Amino acid sequence: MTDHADQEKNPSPDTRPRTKHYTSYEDFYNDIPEEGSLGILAMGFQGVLAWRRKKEELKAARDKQNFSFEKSEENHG
Amino acid sequence: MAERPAKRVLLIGWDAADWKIINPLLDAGEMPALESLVNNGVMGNLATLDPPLSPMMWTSIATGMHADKHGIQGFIEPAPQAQGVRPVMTTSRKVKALWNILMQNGLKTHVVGWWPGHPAEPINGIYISNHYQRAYAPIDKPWHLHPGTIHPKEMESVFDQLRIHPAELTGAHIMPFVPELKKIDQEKEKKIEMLGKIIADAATIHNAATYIMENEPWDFMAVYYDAIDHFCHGFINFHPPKMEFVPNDQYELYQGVVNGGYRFHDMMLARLIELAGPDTTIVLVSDHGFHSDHLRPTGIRKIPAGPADQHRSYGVICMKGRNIQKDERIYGATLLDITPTILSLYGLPTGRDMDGHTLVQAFKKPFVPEMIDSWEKVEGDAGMHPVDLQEDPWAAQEAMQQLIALGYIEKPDKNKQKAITKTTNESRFYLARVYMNKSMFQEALPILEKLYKKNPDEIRFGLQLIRCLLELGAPEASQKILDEIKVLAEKNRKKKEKQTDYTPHLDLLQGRIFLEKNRPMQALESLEKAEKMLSSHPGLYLQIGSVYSKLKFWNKAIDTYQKVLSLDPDNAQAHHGLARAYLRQRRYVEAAEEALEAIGLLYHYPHAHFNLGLALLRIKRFERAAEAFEVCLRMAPDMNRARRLLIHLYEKQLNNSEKAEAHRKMLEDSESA
Repeated sequence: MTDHADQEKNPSPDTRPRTKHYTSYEDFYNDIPEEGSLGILAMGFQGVLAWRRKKEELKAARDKQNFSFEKSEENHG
Repeated sequence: MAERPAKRVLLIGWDAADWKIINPLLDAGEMPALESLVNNGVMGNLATLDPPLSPMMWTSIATGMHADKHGIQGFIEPAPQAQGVRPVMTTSRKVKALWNILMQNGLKTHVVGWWPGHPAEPINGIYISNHYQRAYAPIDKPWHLHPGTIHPKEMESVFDQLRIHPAELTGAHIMPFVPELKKIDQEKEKKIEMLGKIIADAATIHNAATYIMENEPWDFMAVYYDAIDHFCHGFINFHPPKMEFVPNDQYELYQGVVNGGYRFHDMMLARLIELAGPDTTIVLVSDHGFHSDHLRPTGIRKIPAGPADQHRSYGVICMKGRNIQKDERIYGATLLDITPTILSLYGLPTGRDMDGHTLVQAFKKPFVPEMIDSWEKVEGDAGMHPVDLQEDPWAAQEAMQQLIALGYIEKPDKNKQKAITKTTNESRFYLARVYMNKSMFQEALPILEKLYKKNPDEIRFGLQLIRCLLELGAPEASQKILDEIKVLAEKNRKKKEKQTDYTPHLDLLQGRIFLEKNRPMQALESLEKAEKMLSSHPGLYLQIGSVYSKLKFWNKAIDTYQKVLSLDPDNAQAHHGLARAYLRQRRYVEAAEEALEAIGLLYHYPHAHFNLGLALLRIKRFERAAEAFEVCLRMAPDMNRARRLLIHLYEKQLNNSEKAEAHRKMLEDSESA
């Protein structure tokens, strides 16, 4: 029998490469609230595609904002 | 074609879903989509088969046949040209699946994620293999679809885009399962990573299913989600009530994961129901349940398919449609019944070579299902693979890694031939268990004898051989093998090898052998020894109940069977034991009720049908008694005692000399054989 300690050592059912650490805060590009997160996945492909579009838009807006900020920094010496 | 009760059918597979976990969630209003199916359709237990291994079970669901006929016998199989081993493939299925039969009847069918489902079958709709969802590279590296994952090939680019990589998810997706995510050091603790992968895989399958339902015409659609099984294997020990050995902090962190998994599936189900529309008949099934209470094993045996010890004997079935009964329970369903039932929904005949039956009780209008000898004989393109197909070895390798990590298979030996031998042994062992599950003990015996002879150190093989010999009424031969195994087990124990301690199982079997040798007091002694290590083990108390029955201590037998039911209310054998005890006490109505309970839980149970017949005979319900004996004999044609009673009934009570004569002829044939 494997005991609980053994399961602790090797709990993963998967050997795929480690991907990321999930954070409890929402980062800017993945801006979804916790209560809606699974709802978007459950919507199926339409929900996921809409979420990806939104992320792209937010990223573009952020890049634009950074660009403007950098420009204004430059202008103000 | 006969009348067609369903315009189209959506078959949803939830691996390992179990009413024991679902019911409290339904009561709390936390699975509204499933509740709408239950309230507007039929629901019941779906008895699983032995061995309860998912690729075998899902193939039985899709074919209506046991594994001896459909050919999928385990998780892995030898690869062609002796190139080691590989996960089981669609190319190894020997018979048509439901979708092949429907395609032959001009129906547009789609299949998503079925297991085994690789390589994708060339059906007339879209087929997505079960290798589709696995992310095998980091998110910033290429993650191509393997050949054979999508049929037709030209749809690859569409489905490629619909995959979700675990790294695409965020903490917001994890927190509904683990609210205290921020307390976890993910560098040390891998459970969160595992959770992300399970969620991403399920969402990927769901994306493919919803895409097809929205964009393609369809008559039949099958979609399989494996996530509940994975949530449970990973987190059931943290599910309430708390298990003694689980540390408090871990329990607090992960106690909500399993319920969270079910809630997530209910949200996905809501979308599927919406897309299917009101004209679609929906059939939701699982292949087995999952122990979630005091019956949870405290450890996993280190044997191939050891994690299957966590599986419970009953999965779920739920059906809703215009011609399906409303708000009713159905009884005695097995997963072999799904294909015949869906064929009947399309007004198509069931194959006589199928092991299951149409669940007529689920339909609004009673009918007699049409039959043909076999769908295998029907010619024409069924969307199956050509026989010489070779599959992609890389995709196979990744699927192997997943099975190894889940604990379902051991790491294959580097020596290819050794790996092939091990795999072949394992699949022969499963085949023997399939035969025993079908009460074909004579067919199981030579397989087990050979396995045990060649592998005397494999205690599992010996124990199964003993069980088989006992069913065949050979206690002396059983004793000889048990004695050999006891010596080996003692040797292992002295060597303190870290492996399964078989001592209580040996005592249990010793009890059975003594009982078979008509030495009930010694049997009781052995079982009491086993009880010291196996307290609250329903199987042990079933044995003790048998001993008391043998001793004709009926009150004690009744108490013991009731003890089993207090541990496991869905135990068909305990209900049957009660039926036998009540019969001997001439409490015939109670006996009939208990036999019916047993049959309701496990329909393929010839002895329970026999005792039901006996109880009904005693209360002079002659027609119903004859029906019960007929069912018993269909399942076990050699039960001559049932046939003699049936002849007597037809001759003396039901005035049907024709049927009496037919059975007399069969009795003579059986006795002369």
